[in-house]
Amino acid sequence: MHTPDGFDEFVRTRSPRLLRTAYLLTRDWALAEDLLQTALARAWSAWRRVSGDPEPYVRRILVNTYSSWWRRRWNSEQPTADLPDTPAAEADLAERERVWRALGQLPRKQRTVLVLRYFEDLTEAETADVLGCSVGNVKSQASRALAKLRLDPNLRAEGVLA
Amino acid sequence: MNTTDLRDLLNDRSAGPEDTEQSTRLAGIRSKVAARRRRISAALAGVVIAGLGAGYLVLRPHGTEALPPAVPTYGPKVVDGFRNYVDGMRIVATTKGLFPERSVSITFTPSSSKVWYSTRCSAMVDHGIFVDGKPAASGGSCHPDIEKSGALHIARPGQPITVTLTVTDGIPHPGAPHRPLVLVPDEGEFWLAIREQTPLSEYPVSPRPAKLAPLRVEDVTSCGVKVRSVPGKHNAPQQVALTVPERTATTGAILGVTQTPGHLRIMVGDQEISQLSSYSYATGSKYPESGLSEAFPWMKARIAAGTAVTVRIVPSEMTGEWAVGLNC
Repeated sequence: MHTPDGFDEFVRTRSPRLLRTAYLLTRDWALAEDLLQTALARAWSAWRRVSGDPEPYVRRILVNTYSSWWRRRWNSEQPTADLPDTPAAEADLAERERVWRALGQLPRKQRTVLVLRYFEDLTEAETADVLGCSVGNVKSQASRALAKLRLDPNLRAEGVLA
Repeated sequence: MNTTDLRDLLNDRSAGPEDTEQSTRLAGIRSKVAARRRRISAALAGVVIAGLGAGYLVLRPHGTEALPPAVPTYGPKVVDGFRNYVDGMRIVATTKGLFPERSVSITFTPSSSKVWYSTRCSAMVDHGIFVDGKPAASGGSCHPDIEKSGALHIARPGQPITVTLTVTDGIPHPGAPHRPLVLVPDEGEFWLAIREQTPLSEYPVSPRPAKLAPLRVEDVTSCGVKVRSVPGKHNAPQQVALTVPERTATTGAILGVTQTPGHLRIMVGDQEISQLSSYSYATGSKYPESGLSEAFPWMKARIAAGTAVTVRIVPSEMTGEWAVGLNC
């Protein structure tokens, strides 16, 4: 099987970072590796048609694959609309642990927006491009997500500035 | 905590285990590309057949009674939530455990050495597979929405064995330091399925296309020896002499392509070191049944690098051309 020019080099240099993105989406290293390999296999077929830096293209495939995976599977995660109250027994859990858990309970699109914005450091416009939605939608998803994580005291749970 | 801390958190949490060796990842990607090509070919064949069928229904003379389908009947597509037919394998047994139980077992007699297990759990606990009480696979985390599958090493086909699925608390470990803690719950279920290789005559193979696709010989080797069928003698054994290559992560693979369903046994003397099986008319690469993790079948066969051997390719049930690459 002939490998497209530049593909091996891309995998060697860029895939470690993309794996981390995949992990933040799936929260499971084995799943993340599977997701990354699936995305790269899809990119393989279109490699010659990609002009310029292929990373945004691969990232978009990765995010879309992640979304479609969890849409298709019958028993996928059921994100809660609101986080449960923190039980007293867990009150002393580290704040970072709380936020990490809360991140895992976000709806997948909100989690994806946060990962793209705060891990990949994409702009709102770039994030919107990856997700195939409007900038306004990215803003509202991010606001709601941050409100649920209780990271911004100025945001209520609905994601509206207080 | 603010959004700057969130950046730090995401960075810290994703700095997980050491990254997979890139050659292993590339091998995995190639495997997925090959599988994807097979699926696309099969889907295209299905569309063509469906189109021809629809065309026939529209154009056939009125008053002609439809003939009963001449296709054999097969088992259901799904058995207890598991796909019944996958890559030439078929479900032969399933069982379910109920949490807080910790294990379930299936005892059966494998008819060949090609046996795979699959698991599914309603909670993402850790799980392991045991054959006759001995560890056979460390399944990692068990998933509610993804079948985890793997090959079982069957030393003596024809002898009964007991395959056991054991679930344990899902806890972080060196390979997955950030794995969320998931204790074995009090309610829910976990499943074990066993698949065995199916004879071609009992597998729902897509119909033969009117014209076979050209053989993709270039797919089988990037470096090494190619062996091809003799035109018109698809089931005639072929042989070649070579020196067993040194082992690295991606070398030594034995790959094959076929135009049609059929089997290719790779033999050294009387020893079968691999078998390539195709259950479709798609012409992408066929990896060894043992999977990419054992892409170096020489080691499995205990044949040392540097050994001079004569390799025989023994085809069966082939109705088209084939080629095998013995990669260096």
